[in-house]
Amino acid sequence: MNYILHILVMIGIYLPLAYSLNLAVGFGGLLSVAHAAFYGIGAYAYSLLLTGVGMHPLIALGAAILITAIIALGTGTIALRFRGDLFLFVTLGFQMITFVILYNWVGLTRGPYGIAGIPRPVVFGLTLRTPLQYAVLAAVVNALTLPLLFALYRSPFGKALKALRENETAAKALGINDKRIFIQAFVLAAAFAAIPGALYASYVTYIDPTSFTLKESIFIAAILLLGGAGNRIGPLIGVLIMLLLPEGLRFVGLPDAMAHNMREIIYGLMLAVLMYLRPQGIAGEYRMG
Amino acid sequence: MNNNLILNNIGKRFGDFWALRGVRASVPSGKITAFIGPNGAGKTTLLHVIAGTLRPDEGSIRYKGETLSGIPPHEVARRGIGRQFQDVRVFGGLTVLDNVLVGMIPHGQQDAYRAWFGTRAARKLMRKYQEKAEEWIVHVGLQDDLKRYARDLSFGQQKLLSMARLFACGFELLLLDEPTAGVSPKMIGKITALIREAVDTRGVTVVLVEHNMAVVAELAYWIHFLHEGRVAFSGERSHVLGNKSVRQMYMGL
Repeated sequence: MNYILHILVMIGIYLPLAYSLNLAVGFGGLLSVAHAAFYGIGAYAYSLLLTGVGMHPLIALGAAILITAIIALGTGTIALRFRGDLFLFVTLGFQMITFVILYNWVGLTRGPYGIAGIPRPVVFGLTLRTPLQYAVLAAVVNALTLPLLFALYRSPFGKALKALRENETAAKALGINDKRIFIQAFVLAAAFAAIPGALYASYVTYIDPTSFTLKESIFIAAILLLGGAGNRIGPLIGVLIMLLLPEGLRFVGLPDAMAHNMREIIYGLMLAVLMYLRPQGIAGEYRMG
Repeated sequence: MNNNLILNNIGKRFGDFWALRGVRASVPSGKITAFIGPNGAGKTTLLHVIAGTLRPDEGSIRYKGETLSGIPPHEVARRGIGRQFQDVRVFGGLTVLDNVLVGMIPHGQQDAYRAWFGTRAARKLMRKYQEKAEEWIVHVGLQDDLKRYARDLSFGQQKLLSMARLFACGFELLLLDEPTAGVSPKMIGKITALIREAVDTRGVTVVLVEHNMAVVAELAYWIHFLHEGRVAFSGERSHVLGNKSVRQMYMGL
């Protein structure tokens, strides 16, 4: 039972990650591999504000979102001077720099030792401990954040973003302010990644830089690649497949030494076959890259 | 005459090659002005320069008494100048309705936070825009394709959609880059009728770049003949089309 609840919590963490990245990648056509960096900045900011300053968790969450947004504003301003492959490479660079800073700025982040003893959230006097309580918390977090993202998807902002994705020159010729719309999308995508970051930190109560690597960024992007981007259904399908498939493989009875490798091979094959048959992902409406 | 678009000594250089050089021309308000000339004469470059996509290396552009040159494309659009592209550039992944709607929404309404703090008045306004958009779609005859993705339309239908997009945004000056290229004769008739109507009933000003001389002869009030990046000849339609050297340089007649 606890095992299933753990998976539900993880789904609850990856859904807002996928749906927030979807705003930049699926709607704006801005393929970024820096999402784990923003997820990590959110997790670290939240954890440090709790352990170091002793802030109230909700205030710490708000501050973590704000800090992530400010860093994204700086990064986005630079990255959005470029499009396509070059944009991708700038986000790649930012992802790597963030990891190096988390790993080496021992004075702030405790580097490779990570931050331990992150306080568990207290709701109405009840300290959340059990997987069931966290599953409920994750559900509440999703119920609060996803509607905000969906509102962006269908708003005039979302339409303008899609128009820019489809044809930037034509969108500009209709009076759409490309810089303004793009930077908002980039910052919001990052800011929303801070929320699952805080959720993750408070769930595992220990974070270190290895959770926020380039590999993790690629994993989140692969969720969209697989499930599909640019709408509401694609990220859900991607999260379910990417998280449930490896769990399903546990029960196939492969020897332990083989299981992990098999998982990677199946991922790789799945992506390769899918890109050949359905480049927009299973349920996507936009072909990335 | 203050509302005229005035091109003052426009020059645009790509490396050592001057695509436009010393272009002086005026586009009278409420009329159709055609820029004609052989391939490579600089017609599309001129539209890019007016629309702000390219920055002129020399000269200035004035519209409604203000200088246009040097401001970004979306600002040019906000001043009432709309641009149609030779390769139409509809938003393939958007529905026909959204293609028209997306440019109509005023800038303040496009900011992200509006999605969360929309007032009732703003929502009412949105519905009004949607109704207006639908009216324009009916106007160009795409009412049966409202919910279709633009990429699923035929090329001719996409041209009609791009006209609807321009009309709906309420642009006062339209830069049309070969609006009738690559479509059927029936569709050409439809498109020229739409342009004619915009000018005659709504007082829209049109800059027309067109290779189809029948269309130019039918629509244009004034013609500038471009040759190797310069205005070689300007005048009223009959004057230019009847000119012997123009006919020789361009039409090989």
